[in-house]
Amino acid sequence: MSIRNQLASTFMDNLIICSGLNTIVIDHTKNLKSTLKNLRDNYGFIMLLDIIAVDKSNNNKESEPKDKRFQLNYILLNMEEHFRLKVQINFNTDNNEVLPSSTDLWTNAHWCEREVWEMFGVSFGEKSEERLLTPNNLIGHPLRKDFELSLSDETVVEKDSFQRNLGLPKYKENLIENVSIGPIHPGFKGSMKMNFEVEGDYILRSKLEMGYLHRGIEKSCEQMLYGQISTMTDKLNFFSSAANSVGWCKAVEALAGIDIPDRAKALRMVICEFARVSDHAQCIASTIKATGIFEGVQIARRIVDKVAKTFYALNGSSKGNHLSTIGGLNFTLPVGWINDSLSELKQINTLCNELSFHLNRANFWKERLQTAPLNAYEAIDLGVTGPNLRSCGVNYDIRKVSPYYFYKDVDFEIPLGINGDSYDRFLVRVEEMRQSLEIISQVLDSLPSGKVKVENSEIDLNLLRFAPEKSSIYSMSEAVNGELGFYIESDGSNRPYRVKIKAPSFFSAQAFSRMLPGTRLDNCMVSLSSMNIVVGELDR
Amino acid sequence: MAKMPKLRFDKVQSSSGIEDLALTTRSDSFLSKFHNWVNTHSTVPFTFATACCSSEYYSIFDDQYLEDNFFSEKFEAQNSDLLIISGSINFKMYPILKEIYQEMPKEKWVVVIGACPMSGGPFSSFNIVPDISKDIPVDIFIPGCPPGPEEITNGMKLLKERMSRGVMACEHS
Repeated sequence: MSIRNQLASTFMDNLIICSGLNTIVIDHTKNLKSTLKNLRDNYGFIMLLDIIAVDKSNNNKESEPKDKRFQLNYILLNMEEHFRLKVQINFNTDNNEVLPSSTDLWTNAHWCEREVWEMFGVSFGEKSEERLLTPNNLIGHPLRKDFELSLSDETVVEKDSFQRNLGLPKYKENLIENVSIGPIHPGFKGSMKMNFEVEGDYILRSKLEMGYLHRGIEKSCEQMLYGQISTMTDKLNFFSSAANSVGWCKAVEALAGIDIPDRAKALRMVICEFARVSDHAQCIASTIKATGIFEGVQIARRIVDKVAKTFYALNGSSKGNHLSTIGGLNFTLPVGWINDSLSELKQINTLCNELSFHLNRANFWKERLQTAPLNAYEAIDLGVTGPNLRSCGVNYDIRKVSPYYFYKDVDFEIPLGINGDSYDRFLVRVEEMRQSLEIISQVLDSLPSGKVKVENSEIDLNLLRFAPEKSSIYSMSEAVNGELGFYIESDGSNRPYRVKIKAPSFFSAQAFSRMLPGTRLDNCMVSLSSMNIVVGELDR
Repeated sequence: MAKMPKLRFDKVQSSSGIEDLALTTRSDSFLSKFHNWVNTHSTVPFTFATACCSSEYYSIFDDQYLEDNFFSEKFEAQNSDLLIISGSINFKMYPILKEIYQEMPKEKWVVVIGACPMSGGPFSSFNIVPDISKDIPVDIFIPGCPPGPEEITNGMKLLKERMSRGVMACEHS
């Protein structure tokens, strides 16, 4: 019996299809915790992908007052059946109701709940009431519809980053120091702050402080046109802009029911895979840099440069910005581009071999990278996706399990690691680069002909008038760092009502801050760069 | 296929050496000229790298100081005379930026790469500082989202010219 039938027999009428996913509607907050526990224990929903809150207050103004103000969506994943489920609940917070926290079911719910409290003022208990992204002197909850910016003038007293450990013997107190790195550091991809409590060289406790690059993308999406937003999604993971905006355009097209031409689909795959090659090379370059080897950095840089050159030939942007648009692509293929890229592919492949030849035989490299291991159980519990999850040995890739575009027709393999440490993450990334090159050459060999943009569609694709019908969608794609999901809710106008970005780095960072205790302080930069945490994506 | 221009920071530096400085007879003007010449030829940048535009900068100028290229650690802001702000600045970051600017030596130049710090760029939300130049005098502003390699190099050329004449924005604020 398939999982959908099992769920249907238990939840009966409460199981509906909504925003492209099977949805269970819960009518009362009392039942929330027990339902989630039931789903995790008996139906195998072992991974929590995201918690999405929506403020419904001015969705339809003539609505009756009995309508509930907030909506909460838990996106769950059953990894065996590749089945995604949305658990939806509507509620009011008139009498300061506190929702049950689900941190004991899924550890990664902690940061999600903190974000929901911060943005909407929906509390999950005392632990969740701590600011994550916004500055401490901000008053109010930004993603509420009635939010207006006001900063309090009172200087907020900086709290110590760690509470004093009272169980510690007195003679040890002098041995313990607090160290912090950041917010500006050349090793970071963006800006964040890492606080450590160290004894000698070893880290006892670690805490990641973020929000130094919080640009409020989700809030500004509510004021922008659908077509404009792809310029902002480009800047999520700024080393692979192309793959992000493909994710956004795919989500909007799924929302509006647009089917893009075959040629556009194929070319989107090509630019996505090029972005993956470039981003992985960048990640490897920063890992090598953190260990202090010279040779590898230059090789990895050359790969990045080669990909930049191919992107530059497309539209003049070396990072692959502004390539895709709603309904297709922004560029037509220049003459001779395919031949040029095929020869570049060959050179990149040689460079990949060179990279692994130089590094794999160095004992120093192997020893240095045996840091920050993550086992499969923890990784799933913490919601890690992408190469970081695959390096723990979990075979999960959206390109394989729920293929979009032509990923089901191309021949490629998913590399897996065993130990889940930095060295495995490096190996997985190098192999994924090779597989991406395979995909690109296969697609370019049989590139469909035709248009690259929808021309006669039922929906008006004009930038100003493009307005999908009132509905919602959760659409995901395998971006470079893992599952990049977009939840879009539309109210029928030309601007989205609510956009939530499920960013893979958000969950990698949460896992990272839990991986560090017990390791040496000088390993933390190596582990950080091998996790490839890009702050643009983490803070949004 | 279009070619990416190959640019290096040392090519940008002017070819004129110390011999040009001998063209003065007064000691005070010689000293100020010498001072400017030193500043122009040993710039110590501190990259306040918050977001995407910093990677554009690094992709051109990263191997300028070869011996530092191998380490993630670079110079501290307190010991550098050029502040390069690249990437969005939000309200959580703004006090830190102002503090760093105050802690830098008295003679300093500020370069802004990308549209974000001066106008918010494509981002226009509650958390973005709309204009940093109200508090921090900016010498060179290189617009773009992100600016290309040529624009960044041209901006750096302009900066070198300012340095060789001893002009800095922080004097006039």
